[in-house]
Amino acid sequence: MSETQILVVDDESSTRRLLSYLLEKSGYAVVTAEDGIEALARIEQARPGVVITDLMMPNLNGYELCRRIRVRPEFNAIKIIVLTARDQSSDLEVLKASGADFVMKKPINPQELSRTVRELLEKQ
Amino acid sequence: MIITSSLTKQLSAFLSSMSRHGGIELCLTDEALRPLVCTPHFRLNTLSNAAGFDEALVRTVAVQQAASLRLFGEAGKAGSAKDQIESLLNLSADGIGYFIKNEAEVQMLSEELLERYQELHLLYEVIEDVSAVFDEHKICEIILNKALQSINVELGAVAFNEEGQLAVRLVERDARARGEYSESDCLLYAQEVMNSGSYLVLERPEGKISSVLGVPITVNNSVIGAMVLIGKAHGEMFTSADRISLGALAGYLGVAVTTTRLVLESRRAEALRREIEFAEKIQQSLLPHELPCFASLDIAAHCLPSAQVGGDLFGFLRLENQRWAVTVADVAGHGLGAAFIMASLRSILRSEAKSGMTASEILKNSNNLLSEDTRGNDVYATVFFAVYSERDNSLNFSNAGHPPPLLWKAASRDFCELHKGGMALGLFEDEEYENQTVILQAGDVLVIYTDGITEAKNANGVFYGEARLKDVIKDNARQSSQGLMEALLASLEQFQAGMHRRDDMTVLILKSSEIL
Repeated sequence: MSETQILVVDDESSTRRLLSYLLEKSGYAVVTAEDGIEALARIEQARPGVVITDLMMPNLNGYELCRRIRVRPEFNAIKIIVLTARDQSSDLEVLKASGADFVMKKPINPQELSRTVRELLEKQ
Repeated sequence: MIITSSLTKQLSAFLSSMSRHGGIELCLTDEALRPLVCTPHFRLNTLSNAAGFDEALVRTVAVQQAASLRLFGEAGKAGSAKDQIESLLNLSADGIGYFIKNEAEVQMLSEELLERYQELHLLYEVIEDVSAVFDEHKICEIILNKALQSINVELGAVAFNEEGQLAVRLVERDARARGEYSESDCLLYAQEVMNSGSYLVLERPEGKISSVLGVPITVNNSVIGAMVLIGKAHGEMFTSADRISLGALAGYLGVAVTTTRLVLESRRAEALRREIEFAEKIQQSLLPHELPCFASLDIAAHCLPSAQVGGDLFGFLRLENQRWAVTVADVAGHGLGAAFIMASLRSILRSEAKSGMTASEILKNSNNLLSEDTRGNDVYATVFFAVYSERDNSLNFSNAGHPPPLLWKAASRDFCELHKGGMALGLFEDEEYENQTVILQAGDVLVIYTDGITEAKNANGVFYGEARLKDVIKDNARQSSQGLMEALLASLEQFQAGMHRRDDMTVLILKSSEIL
């Protein structure tokens, strides 16, 4: 099976579970990680097409995870969506600071997430 | 339901454990016999010849709303007996059924949660757009367009119950729609939603309409309107998620519209309060600051404005030859409009009074002048106007529709009502007025008042009336003007005990000195 892999990174298990369900329903294969450290290990194994990550996480936060993905030329093709809390700084600031491809506010809009993943994968 | 990675993980762990402990190999496949989870040593090539597989070693696992799964079992290396394999197979099938049931429940809850997220997200967007808008129409427009976009329909409408009548406030159409449906279609369904107070979901209700979704707009448990969507795109039917989304939007629309109405209402109340304050100032500035002193007249005056500014006016103006103009007037209506007419009336009367004419001629001219100001505005003033002469203590008066002042004749101990005159001022031009002259004898008391006195009501809705007024005058006629005034006010106060005053009350008392 050559399904596109998507990595969901969030320290909250309910969010991981829900996002996995949403994405698997759309036909993607999903791997999950609880923090940035685990995420990096999963990326090495699974080479996901898209990484969806929370910003605030223990051990290695979302900004640092993005940075470490971006410094690796072999991960160039990976698209990154970061999830932010609604009251945090503007999307543009987060985009600049993280180097992500897309910023989405929590609570996530399921339709928008599916659409965004599809569009990012089409660009690859 | 779908076979998710988390379910596969759980099943894989479970089958491995069964295999390890039971010495059997297991493989779970879908309906088409494609393996989903297998233990490491299961011989997959046996699946390609499934027909030859021993039926006793296959179990079917039912999956909600999906094709069933198959569980194949075979002996492991240890070569377990067939009946042992069968009983382990049964156990495994039950276990898988349990995992799948759990997963189905989780997926159902996830679906529901995603619908809620969708709804929540929609509301976040709408709240961001609407928060600074205080225009009912604009709010409806934003929210209705959001509904059209997010639910993907051709036509939507917002209708409100306005004084018992259902009025379509707004109809929006998806620009790509073919325009098959009309406002009247919306009205019909909106009415149905309003009547039932609940959701309305229809599939092909009439020939050309494909689908209808309607939700009530409810505020504090009362239905104030309805949102209706007609024609979901691509001929699809409305889903429960659509119903939830539209319900959420309608709920917020109700709150936003109600808030807007309250804000506008309080702004109007504030404007009205300022108008009243301003009118009060005008009225106060038009009333005399002090009363004139006469050798042969003892005067008392009282003017109590009501909560809402009225148009009571009284005044004195010194004329030539020891004569004075005396006026008590009541402009119909309240507020700023009445205050302006009062100001206009006051200046007209002051200038006319100086002409030296009789009271009736002065009122006739004043009426013509005032009518120019009030034309078409349904504003008028009742006026008692008199010219008092200090020389002979005479009063030449004319009464324009004002409650007749009461003249207490001390000698005969009875009342004379001064009603000679004509129509209230400001209604019709070229009205004729009569006048009369009375001589104030020693001890006579003239009480000029506005209808706020006689029409003051008590808690039972009974008017104070002329009879009570006359009694007070009669009983206190020997007192000074001020003494009589105080007795009258005390009587009114007692009569109205604690009631809120509705109208202005103005009283002017002129008492002819006992000894000239």
